[in-house]
Order: sequence, then C-alpha cells, then structure tokens
Amino acid sequence: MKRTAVVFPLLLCFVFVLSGCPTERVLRGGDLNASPSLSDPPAIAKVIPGLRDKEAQSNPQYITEEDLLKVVNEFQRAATKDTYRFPIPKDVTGANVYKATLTRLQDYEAKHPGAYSEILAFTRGRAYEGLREYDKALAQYQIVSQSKHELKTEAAKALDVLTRFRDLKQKPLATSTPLDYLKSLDQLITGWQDLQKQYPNTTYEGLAREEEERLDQAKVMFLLINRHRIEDGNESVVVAYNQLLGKHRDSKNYYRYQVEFGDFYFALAQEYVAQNDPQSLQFDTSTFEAVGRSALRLYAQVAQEDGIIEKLEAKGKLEALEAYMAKVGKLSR
Amino acid sequence: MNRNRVLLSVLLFVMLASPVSAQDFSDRLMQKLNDFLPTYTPFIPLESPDRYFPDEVGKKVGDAIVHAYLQNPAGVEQRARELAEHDTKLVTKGEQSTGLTSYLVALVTQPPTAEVATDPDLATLSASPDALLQRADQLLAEEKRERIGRRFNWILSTFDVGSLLFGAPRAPTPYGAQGIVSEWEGGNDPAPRERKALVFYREFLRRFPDDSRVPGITQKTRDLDTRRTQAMLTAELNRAEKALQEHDYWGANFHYHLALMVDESSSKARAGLEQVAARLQQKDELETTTPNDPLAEVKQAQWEHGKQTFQYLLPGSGFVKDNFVVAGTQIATEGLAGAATFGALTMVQTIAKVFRLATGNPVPQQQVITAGEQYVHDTPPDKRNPEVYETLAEAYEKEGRLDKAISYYKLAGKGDTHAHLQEHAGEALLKMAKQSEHQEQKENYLRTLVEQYPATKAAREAAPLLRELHLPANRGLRLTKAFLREHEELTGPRGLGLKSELFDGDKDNVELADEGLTLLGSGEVALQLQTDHGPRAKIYAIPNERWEQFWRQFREKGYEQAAKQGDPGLALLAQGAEAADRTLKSQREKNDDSGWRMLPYLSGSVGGSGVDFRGTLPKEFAGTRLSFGSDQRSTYVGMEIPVPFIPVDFLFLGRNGFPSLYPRIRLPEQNVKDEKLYQ
Repeated sequence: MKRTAVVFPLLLCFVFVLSGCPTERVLRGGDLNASPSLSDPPAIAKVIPGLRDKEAQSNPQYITEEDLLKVVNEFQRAATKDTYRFPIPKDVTGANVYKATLTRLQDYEAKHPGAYSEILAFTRGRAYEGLREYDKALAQYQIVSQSKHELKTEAAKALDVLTRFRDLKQKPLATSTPLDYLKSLDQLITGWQDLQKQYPNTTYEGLAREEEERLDQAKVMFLLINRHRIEDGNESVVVAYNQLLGKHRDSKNYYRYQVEFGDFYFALAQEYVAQNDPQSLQFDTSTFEAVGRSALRLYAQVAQEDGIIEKLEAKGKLEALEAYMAKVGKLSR
Repeated sequence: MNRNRVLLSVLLFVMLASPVSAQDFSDRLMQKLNDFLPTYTPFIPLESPDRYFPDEVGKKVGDAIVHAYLQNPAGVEQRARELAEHDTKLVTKGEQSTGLTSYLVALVTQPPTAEVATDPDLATLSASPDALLQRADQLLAEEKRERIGRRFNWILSTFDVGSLLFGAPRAPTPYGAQGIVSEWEGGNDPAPRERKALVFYREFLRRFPDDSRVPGITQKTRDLDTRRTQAMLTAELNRAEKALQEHDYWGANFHYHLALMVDESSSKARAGLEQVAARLQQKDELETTTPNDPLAEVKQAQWEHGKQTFQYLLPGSGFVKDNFVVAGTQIATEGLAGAATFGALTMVQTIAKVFRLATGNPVPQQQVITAGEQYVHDTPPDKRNPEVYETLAEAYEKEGRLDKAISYYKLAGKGDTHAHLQEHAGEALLKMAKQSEHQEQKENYLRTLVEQYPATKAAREAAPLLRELHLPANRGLRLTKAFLREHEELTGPRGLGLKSELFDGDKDNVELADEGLTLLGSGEVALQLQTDHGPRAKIYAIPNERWEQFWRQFREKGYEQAAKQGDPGLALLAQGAEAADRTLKSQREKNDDSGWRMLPYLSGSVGGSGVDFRGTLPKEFAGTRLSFGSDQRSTYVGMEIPVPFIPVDFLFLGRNGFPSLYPRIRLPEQNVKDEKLYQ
C-alpha cells in the first residue's frame, strides 16, 4: 500500500514535468537565426568538406588575415541592425560596435601596416556612416572609389548617397525669428522624409529616419527652452511632444520621450505652485491636479510597460510625483 | 699573516659599511648619486613591424570579405569551400592548416553570440519570427515547470524512495510543508517569465501580422494580458487601500487614479476615490478638534516594529494555516508523539530566530527611522523631545549606519556610548578600504577614517597605508609579475618590450619582484625590482611608440578575454570605462585571494534536537548541493545527485541503517534577466 503511495506521485510528476521540457541541467537559448539556408552552420559544414571547428589553432603565417576577419566578423554582425528601432549594437566587451571597430581598425593598421587598405577604408566608411559622421565616411569611401578595388562601385554608390545626406545635414537654419527657425526645421524634416522614400529598405532609410527624429526632437527642445518667450509656449510644447510621440512610435527613444513629456508636466505643476502659494486663496487645486495627473498618466504608461529600462526610471518618478502631490495637496487644504 | 689581515679588513669594511640602497634620501642630488642600477635599461630595442605580402590565401580572404560586403553569400561560400580544400591539402602534406575557414563561414552565418552575450533580449526582439516564438514558448514552459515542480518537490520531499527500495518503507514526513500552503494559493498573477513571454508575443504580432500563427498567438497574448492587467489593478488597489487604512488619503487618491489608468472601468477604484474625498472632509474636522501628540507617530512605529519582531519569531510564513496543516498531518500519522515532535521542532526554530534577533537585525528599523526623522524635521529643536535622539541612534546602530548613530548619540548627550561605535565605524571603513580594488576608493575610505575617527585603533593602522598609497610608484595600473607571465605579449617585443631576463628568476641579472610593475599616468612605468632589501621601485620613461604598442596589445587581450571567457574586465580598463588604478593579478593569485570563498556556503541551524546544515559546492565542483546534520531518525550526510537525460535530481542521504533517497524535480536554474523590468 505504502509502495503504491510513493510511486503514484512520482509517476504523476514525471508526466507533468517530462512533457515538452528540456532535460539538460543548463538551459541554453535556441539558435535565434535558425533558417534552413546559409544561416545554418551545420548545413555549411556539410557543404564544405574539411571545415574545421573555430577552435582550430591559429596559423602565425596568416595572423594578418585572422586579425582582419575577427574585426570584420564582429562588425558585420551589426551591419544590418535597424538603429532607428534599436540602440547601436554592442560588441562582446559591451562597447558601441561602430566606435569599437574604428579603434580596432586603427590598432590593426599599426600592427599590419599596408595590409588590406581598401577593405579597411570601406569598413571605416560603414562605421562612420553608422555614427552619422558623414564627412569622415565620405573621406573613407573616396579612398576606395579612387582605387581599382572590387568595392569601388559600392563605395561610389555610398559616396553619392552620403553626399546628399551631408549636404542636407549641413544646410543652414534660419535664425532670424523663432517662427523662421521652426519653418526651416520643418523644411529639413521634409528633406529627410524625401531621402527615406528614395532609399527604401536600405540602411540609409533607417539613417534618414534617425535624422528626421533628431530634428523633431530639436523642435521640441527649442520650444521647451523658449516657452516663456513664445506666445502660448506651453501649449506649443504639448503639441510638439504629441507630434513627436505620434510620429516616432517605433523609435528606440519612444519611452524616453514619454518620460520627458511627463517631466514637462511635473515642471509645470511646480511652476504653478511657485506662482500660486498652495496656502493662499488664489491656488486652484483642480488646475494643479489636472497638470499633476497629466504627468502621472505619462509616467504610469512607461512604468506599466514591461521589458524596458525606462520602466525603473518612471517608477521612481511616479513615487516622487506622489510625494510632491501629497505635500502640496495637504498644504492647499 | 698578511692574508689574514686583508681578510679581516674586508670583513670589517663589509660590517661597517651601511646598506646604501636602504637609505632614504630627501635630497634629489643624493638620490641620484645613490640611485641603484643607474645605467640599467629594462627595454629591448624597438622592432619594426613586418611588411605585408599577400599570397593566394590572403586574396581569397579579401575576396570573401568583399562578397560579404556586397551581400553575396554564395561568393563567400565559394571562397570558404576553396580555402577548406586548400586546408585539406595542407593537412595531407603534414603542414598546418590556415585556420581561417571558420572565420570565412562566420561572415555569412553571423552567429549571434556577441549580441546574445551582451543583450540576449535585444537580440531576440530583432530575431526571426520562429526565434521570437521559440523564446516566448520556452519562457512559458520554464515557468510552468517551475510552478509545478516547486509544488511537487514538496510532495516528493516527504517520500523516502531509498527506504522503499531497501524494503523498509517509512511514513511520509510533513516537515517540508511549512510555507507551502500559503504559496499554493499564491494567485494567478503572471510571473516575470510570463510577462517577458508576453513582450515577445506582442513583438511577434507587431512585426509579423501576416504570419499564419497570428490567431493562436493573439489568443495567448490576450490571456496573458488579462492576467497581467488584473495583477496590476489588484496591486494598485491594494496600495490604495493600505494607504487609506494608514490615513494617507493623498497616497490613496494617487493609487486609485493609477488603478483607473490600468482599468478605466474599475468600479472599486471609482468607489475608492469617492471614499477618499469623503474621508478628506472628515479629516479636516478631526484635525480641527483633536490636537495630535507629535511623538505619537514615532511611538506607533516602534510599536509596529515590536509587532513585526514578534511575527518574525513565529514559525512559517502563513503561521496559522501552515502549522495547522503540518501539526495535523503529524498527529494523524504519528499520534500524540507526533505533536510532541512538532512542538520540539517549532521550539528549535524559534530559538534559532531569537539568536538571530539578538546578534543581527532581521527585522528592519526603517519605519522607526522614517517616523523619527519626520519628527525631527517637523519639530523645532527647542521643542523636540530628547527621547527621539536615543530612539533614532539605536535604530541607526541596528541598521549598521554608525555615522548617523554617533551623531544622534551625541545629541542625546551619551558621549560614552558613541566611543565604542567610533571603533566599530573605524574598523568597518578600514575593512572596506582593504577590500577596495581601486586606489581612489581605497584612499577615500582611508581619508574618511583618519579625518572622522582619528582617535581609533583603525585610524592608527590606516595612516601608514595612506602614506604608502601616495607614493608615486603606487599610483596607476599595477600588473603583478604572475599576471605578466600569464600574458607574455604585454611585455614582449610587441608590447612594452621588457628584457626577458627580468622574468628568468635570476637575481644577478636584475629581476622583477612579485609586485610587478605599475603603469603611471604620465607615460612612465615603475618597475618593482628585487634587491637584497626587498622590492625597490625604479621609474622609467616609456617611449611613445612602446606606450601605444602596449595599449594596442592590452586592448586586443581585453577583447579576447571578453570573447572567449565572457569577462570584459580588461576591456573596460583598456576603453577607459573603468579607472586604471587597480592591481591586475594572475588567475592563481586571484584564487589564492578568494580561496576561502571556494568553500561551500553553508546555512542551517543547531538546536536541542538536531543539527542541520546545507550548502552548495562552487561551480568549479559541479555546483552540487550538500548537506549534513541529524534529523528525527539519525545523523546523515547528503548529496544531490543530478541524473542525466531526466529532469530529476536525487538527494542521497547516507545514514545509520538504510540510506534515504529523495527525488527532486530540477527547476530552471536561470532567473529572468532584468527581472525588475517584468514586475
């Protein structure tokens, strides 16, 4: 009887646990790039006879090639990433892969002078491009396009695109009046939108979107800094923030903008308290609460989102807002 | 005779001559005149780098990279194939292969290792639809396994399979039940793993709306989202209700609004807001009629703390229900003797908790501190009750914040009491200084110690340490000799270019001491050289080219270490992300330093009825769990035995008579990364 009593729960738990569960002691994530063609290393290993494990000992005779391949491999991994939606990828050391590649190429050049100069220039061009340093990228692509290297045509194409990017970026802004300044910002934004349409589904489309976003952000900042000088300044900031949020829902900075928008409302609440003593008769609780609740809504939206780093910041800001509103609320009664 | 006289003269000279190197010269000229090894240079001549001469292999590699940049995987594959054939030929001839083929293959396969290592979630979010779903499903499966596994482990832990196999079955034991009953009814809130899975499912729906799996995933997302919303709503309502109970009406108002943001239709939240509004009016009336005792909040906090301490002493988390079940099972299986055993066990637990209460601070004093500080803030100094200073001093002392405790003891007029606290604070600072890896941190701790607690024993010990820290030769990145031996490239001809004789163990041709060298910020290096009187520092200027060469090597080393061992330590130093003012030690030196930490971490208790210790061996020793002690049957030594191919471990207990064997479902070992982002 007792034997049955012991065996039953054992069997029961085996049925529950064994169904579809990995049995390895250490759980490993699956292959994220699993697809049947070239993305499958074992498939290539079958195609290429004699392919050895990466741990195969390095040959000092080919250290120049090995060093180059290490840099290019790491760089290529990041090449197709959408930097409008996601932050610039990191390398194994946790550094910005574009910046790290530039340093590694500099070290490579010093260690192996004269080796693969066109490939180095092309890689540098790509890295500068990713960092939106168009002048520097153009200088590197120029080296390749003027050579007889196979990458010459590709470099010439990049030269053509990036020249337009650089020219648009360097276009001067009208600074005579705030309205002119905002208008010229809008013109530039339209220019970047045109460029996005000209290079769809390329890395250049993403780059142009980042530039457009940067200008939209600049517009908000301009209004924010000058809101006391402009008529209906606060309302303009609200409109600009709403435009920014509506336009860049897919941006990696979306939640950051929400937190900053919340900060703006929090600042408005503090300004209202500074202008109207909560203990005085002119203090209007409903006005204060309306502004505070706008901040609360924006912080809460971020705090209630899962998997984003801004969540923690928003939670902290919510607590600060709660304490502030409670303090002013008590004073005002 | 003459010979003896000469010998005697030599002996006298040797005995009388003072050791020059041991003298300390304040005059720079004297220092220069008595400098040891004045003409010695530790560097070898600079080598010019090899020129590059490409061969067929080099051309193939270049071609492959070009094809990769032109997004032509077939071209890369072709070059990889050619190179593999070339390698095969080389190996057939007995020569070394190029070792490059796998790098060429990686140009098209792009294994996601680097990004996965730094940010796997980000990698998953931008991965293929299959990968996204696979990761989400895996998270859900892990959570399911953990939930079910945790509960079944309790059942399993009561059955001794060993005794059954040896033909002497024993009755189930209910001791493991404490706490599990409360956990069983833990609600339907989604765990961080499930919330993370929801993020991935949503991303799938967003990025691949035309995928055929969308209807199924939409349903899963809806279910998870409903649970998540409900959990968030409940959490906000609970916070609001708690605030309401504590008469924090503004807090309640805030959380009811947050609850409405989660679910606009929540009737509870709306009713709560109305209640808050009503209470605020009532409070106004109360506030005008009854004057408050300003110290009442502090006293209330002390009372609450006392209550929490009492609760802590009671066994089990849901004391009544858990212990009711345990005691009930015990009495049902063993009769009145079982009740006695249960009582004895509870007593042992309580004694252990009393001990912890007397020696540590298991129940935090934060509530008392907050109330006390609030009182101090709100009350003018001349109207404050001096009692509050002592209350705060004691609370801070228990929390280990000795600086605060000292200042409040001073205000309370208890000068004698704070003398021993100063000693404690001094010792704590000295300990932290010794444990600090960075010189700046070390210096800050030592300086604080010397300035704030100058009369303590620790301050006397700190003064020479601080002086030593200020010596020019000690200010920079120190690399021990063993570390340099482990990384020869750093000092070799392509690195600092130090002479190999410095490392050959022969003192006669100048030898580096175990302390190694320190790279000073000014482009100089301080070599700690062995002398008859111990290590002595000598500073050399490093030529620019060598300095750059060294840091190139250092960056490469840092990158390799991060890629192969996942340790970005050196890379952070090389990139300037971490201050280069610490000591780099060899693996062996690090092991020697942390040797005691290699021992398994043990926890457990000693009581009148038995001993129970549990621990886990370090990862280097398979990370297996160990235990020893005695229970109601006999003394035992236990070890967890993982079984390959099935997700179950066995806890083997060797004891007098028949050994015990308890099965245990293996739970997922990895916690969710950044769990806070999914709570």
